[in-house]
Amino acid sequence: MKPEAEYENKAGTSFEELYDRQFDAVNRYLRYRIRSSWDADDLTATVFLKALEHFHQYRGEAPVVVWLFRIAHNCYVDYLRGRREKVFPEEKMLLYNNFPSGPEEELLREEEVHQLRKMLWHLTRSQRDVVSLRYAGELKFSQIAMVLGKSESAVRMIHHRALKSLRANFFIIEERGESVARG
Amino acid sequence: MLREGDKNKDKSPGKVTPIAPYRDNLEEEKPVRAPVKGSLDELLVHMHRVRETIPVNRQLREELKLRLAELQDGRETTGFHDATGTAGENKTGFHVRYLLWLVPAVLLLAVLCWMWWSVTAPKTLEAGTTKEIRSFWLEDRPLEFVCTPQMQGVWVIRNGQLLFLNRYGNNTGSVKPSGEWSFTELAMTRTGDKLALVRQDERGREEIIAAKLPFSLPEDSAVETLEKVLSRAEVTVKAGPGEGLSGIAWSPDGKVLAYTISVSGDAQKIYLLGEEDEAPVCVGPGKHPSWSPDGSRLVVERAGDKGQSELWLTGPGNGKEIFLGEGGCPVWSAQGYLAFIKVNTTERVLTYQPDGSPLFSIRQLQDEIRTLNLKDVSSFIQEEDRSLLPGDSLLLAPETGPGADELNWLRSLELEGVREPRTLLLNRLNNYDNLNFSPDGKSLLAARRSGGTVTLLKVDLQERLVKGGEKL
Repeated sequence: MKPEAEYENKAGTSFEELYDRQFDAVNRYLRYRIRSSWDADDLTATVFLKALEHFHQYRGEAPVVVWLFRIAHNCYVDYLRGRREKVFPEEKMLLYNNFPSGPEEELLREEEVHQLRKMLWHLTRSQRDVVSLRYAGELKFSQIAMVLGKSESAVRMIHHRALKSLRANFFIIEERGESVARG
Repeated sequence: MLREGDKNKDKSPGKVTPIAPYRDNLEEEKPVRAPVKGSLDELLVHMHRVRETIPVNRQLREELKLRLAELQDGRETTGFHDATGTAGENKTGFHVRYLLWLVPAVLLLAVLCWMWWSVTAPKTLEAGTTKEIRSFWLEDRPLEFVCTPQMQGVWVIRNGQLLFLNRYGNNTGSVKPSGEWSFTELAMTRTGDKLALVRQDERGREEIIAAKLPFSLPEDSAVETLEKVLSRAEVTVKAGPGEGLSGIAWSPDGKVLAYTISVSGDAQKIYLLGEEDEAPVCVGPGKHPSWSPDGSRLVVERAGDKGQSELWLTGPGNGKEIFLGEGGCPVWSAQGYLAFIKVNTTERVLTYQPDGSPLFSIRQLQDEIRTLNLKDVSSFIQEEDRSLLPGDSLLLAPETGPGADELNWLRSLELEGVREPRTLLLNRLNNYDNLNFSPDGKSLLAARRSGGTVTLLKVDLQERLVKGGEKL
């Protein structure tokens, strides 16, 4: 990939560098949020194609990683909207256990992952967005704020409440598991 | 819900700690302390573990990288595009971008075509306002005149004198020839720096004198200045016994003078006289020579087989002679238009018989001023093909309407009870004598004889596009 010099100046980096640095984060973020790894990979490709197409329009108002994740997030929202039209709401998808899965999905069936996904189901949409961007995308609060178009303090508050809710649910599930094991 | 025991164990009970310290520890590969049971750390460790269990598709990473590189290099992969749905977007963007370029490009092309068309399209001259400048009593000789540069005035030969008229036809002065001489014709270069005059003495000998004119002639002392100039004028051509001089015309650069020598009023030949002491060169029979704008060709008037006036394109040099058509008194403007006088026969039917055939009709010869666009004569000169010659067009024709002669004739026929077809032949109408373009080519001056007077007319000219003209 040989991006034009002007693009490099605006982004502070070339598209190739951006791709190398952020592919894992984007792919992981989408796989984190979407149960179907096939869909997540397709969406990852879409994100980078859109990013390439509009890379020359990047004006540098926000860090390039924020710009990229904004595309990823919008793609994810569009994906959900499309799925919803096909009577597959996000919540139901998250809870489906018999959803066809790839080899990677076998690993995700570990108990802890399962628990977390169940807990995420109890969060609000914005809390899920923040948690996903924070822990799957590994973005800073300021970057999450820019991706979601919220203030940083609002994102911190959403994150705080999400963790409180997650922690409560997490230990409830833990306690249930222990009591079942003690029998 | 947090348990009391957990709260006491945590340094900041009830407060959600950021993940940053945890990640810092992870990056620096510091030993991670074991999370306390039921604490937030345990949750974060759990979430981190979830993240770590999500693998990245390495194969996709490499394949997508190649695809993107191909796209960036312009090597599109159709299937890939269609699968991602970006092909349509790219195509739309392509179309929009090219449409943005296409619209001004088409407009520019249209403007260029219009400019090209307006330059190369066949054009003709159209008569605008016609104004009578001045009328004179008719003399034996045609009215000779020239326009001074910038149409500041007209110089006319009258009664053997050189008469100055301003643009309104008012007399501003006159120059009398010295001694026994009288002027008969004059010619001025287009820049107005040279003047040639044909003068005739009492015994009928004619000669041409030429003089350089000052850059500008002051209006109040023009007569005195010109008299001085003409007193120093040199005689360039002397006519032999029985010869007459006429039709003098300067070449556009003012270096060659064309003139006509007529022997006993019949045979007329055109000669060219150079600036230096060279012998005059004959370019063939004819009269009224007129130079092309570039000075390479001449149009002359010659007598045809039946005595009709014909226009010929001729020398100088060994150039081919080309017949242009019928007409006389040609003048070639600096803009490339040739104006000439052509005699046409018109016939008007006054009354008809019961079967529809003409009963009483009038036939009349009338002069018309016509123009011919000779801006590009090279093509038909080389091809010698008259079909390449543009058609001429009418510039000025006399108004023909029933006059007193026609009415009287009709009345007499009625009285006589004539019922067979009759035709009245009328005199030639509008005898144009002479033509001359103004130096800027925007107006044409013509001398028109009518009754016992000759009138100097000024016709404003306009160029207009035509699809074709009437063929000669």
